[in-house]
Amino acid sequence: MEQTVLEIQNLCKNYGSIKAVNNLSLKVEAGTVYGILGPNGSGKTTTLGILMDIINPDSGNFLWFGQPSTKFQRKKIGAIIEEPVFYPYLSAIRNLKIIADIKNCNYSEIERVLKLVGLYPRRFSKFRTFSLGMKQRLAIAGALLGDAEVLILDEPTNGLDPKGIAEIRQIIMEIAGKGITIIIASHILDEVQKICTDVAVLNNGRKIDSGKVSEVLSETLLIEVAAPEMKKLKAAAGKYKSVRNTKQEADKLIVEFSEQVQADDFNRFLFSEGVTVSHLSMQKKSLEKYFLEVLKGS
Amino acid sequence: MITLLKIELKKILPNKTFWVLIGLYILLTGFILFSIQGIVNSFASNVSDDEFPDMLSFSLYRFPVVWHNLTYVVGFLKIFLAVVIIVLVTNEYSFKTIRLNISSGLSRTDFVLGKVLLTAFLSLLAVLLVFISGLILGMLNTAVITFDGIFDKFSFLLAYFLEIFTYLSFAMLIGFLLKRSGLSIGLLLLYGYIVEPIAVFYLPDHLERIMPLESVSRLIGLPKTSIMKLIDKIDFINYVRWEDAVISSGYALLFLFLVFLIAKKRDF
Repeated sequence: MEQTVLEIQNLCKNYGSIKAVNNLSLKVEAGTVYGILGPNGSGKTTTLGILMDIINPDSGNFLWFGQPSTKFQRKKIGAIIEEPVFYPYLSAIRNLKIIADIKNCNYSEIERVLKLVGLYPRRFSKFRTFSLGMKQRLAIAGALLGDAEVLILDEPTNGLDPKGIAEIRQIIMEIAGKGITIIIASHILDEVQKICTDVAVLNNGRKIDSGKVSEVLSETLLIEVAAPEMKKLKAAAGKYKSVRNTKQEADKLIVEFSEQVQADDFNRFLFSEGVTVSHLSMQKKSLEKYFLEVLKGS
Repeated sequence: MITLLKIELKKILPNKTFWVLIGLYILLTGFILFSIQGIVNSFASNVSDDEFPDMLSFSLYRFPVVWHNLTYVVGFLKIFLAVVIIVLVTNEYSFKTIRLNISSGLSRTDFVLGKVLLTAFLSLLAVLLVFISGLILGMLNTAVITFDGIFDKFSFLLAYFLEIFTYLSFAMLIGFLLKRSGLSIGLLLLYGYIVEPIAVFYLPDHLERIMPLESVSRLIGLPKTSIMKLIDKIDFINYVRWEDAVISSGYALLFLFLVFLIAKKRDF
């Protein structure tokens, strides 16, 4: 059986009349890359803040490794919440030494994590002088100190240029490959889909969906077809296996499938039904559209 | 405990603001301690030579009164240390590094404890500065040096520690409360130099002495030195009253308790 790393039970946090986190429950299993997906203001950062004792919850509780939270557990959890924070006037290495002291870990680990994030050559530079991408990488290095078993990342690629985003994703994949459980908060659907194995979708502090990424965020396949006889086409298409929906849009028919299909196979089927296709193109339903639909539905 | 203090020192030792303020404090303290006799002498000789012929022969630096005189004279410089404490506390808020500390594995109590230890450390530094100066000046200006003579009025150094520590605890509370350095320093100055002095002026004596900063400044009273003979009708107290020490300690505990409470309840 898989070990549960984190279990959140009925967590609530209000800011005045605003319910930042509203009766949130979720479970994170060991070895997963867990995405917390939601638009800005959906309670992601507040939730992570509560998990790290930076914010006091109003009610509900959470268990790390099956135990109520203590400072000793936090030493085994590396977290970056909202943005990378360090002492700006201290060098990278001095900042990491402070974290190493807090986590009671050996200074020899510092070199290893700095090399992992590619900041070893800049170890004597002050944090102030770092670019946003470097700050983010240093924060990941700090989070990894003390043989972290869990890594919490809050919008890790926010505000980065494409190169920075690629670097961070590369590092995250590398870390995940070592069996470290990763929890990522993000408002970027594409990011969660690319990096995560599991996901919870949040809106207004409420969990509106959760499960395996492949299930929750599965891409729906669409095929756009047109034929001289549209009525006949629609009837024939409806008979094909795994068709979920057909919809006429202008002079074309949009066919939605619940699973992956081959266009040539679909074409052959239509032909055997006596329909000659004049137009056929495969499309993917945009995830953004799906995301907005899910949010609207909640 | 030692680790917590070590962490605090690692945060501040490379900080330039810290060294500017501490350097200024040490320089000013040294300068005042070593020059006060000269200042007093020149002032005294200007007043009247006839009335107080023995004035100049009366040294401020003599054991054991040196402890009382020195601690009294440099007490006001503690404002520099208060600014250091305020800057260090409010920096943790403005850099948001308080989040780094707690999410890395300090408890909220640990975090405050580190700051309290640092406060004690700076208070000790202040005491050490006066102790070394006093030892040097006392050795040079006392005719007959005996062990008892040196340590007779040593209670003033303990009172001096309490004075600084309580005052810095007050500054720390303001820093934690307001989170911003400028605002905190402003409030400290406003309260310490305007609000409380006015309140003390209007309050009857038994209430006056339990005001927080007044109780701190009463720990070390006006020393009875030659120059003070010019002023009539002052009750000189050449010892530390235990009531004042109890009131000050009470305030230090109250301030620290409030800081721990804030850290417990607040969202960072």
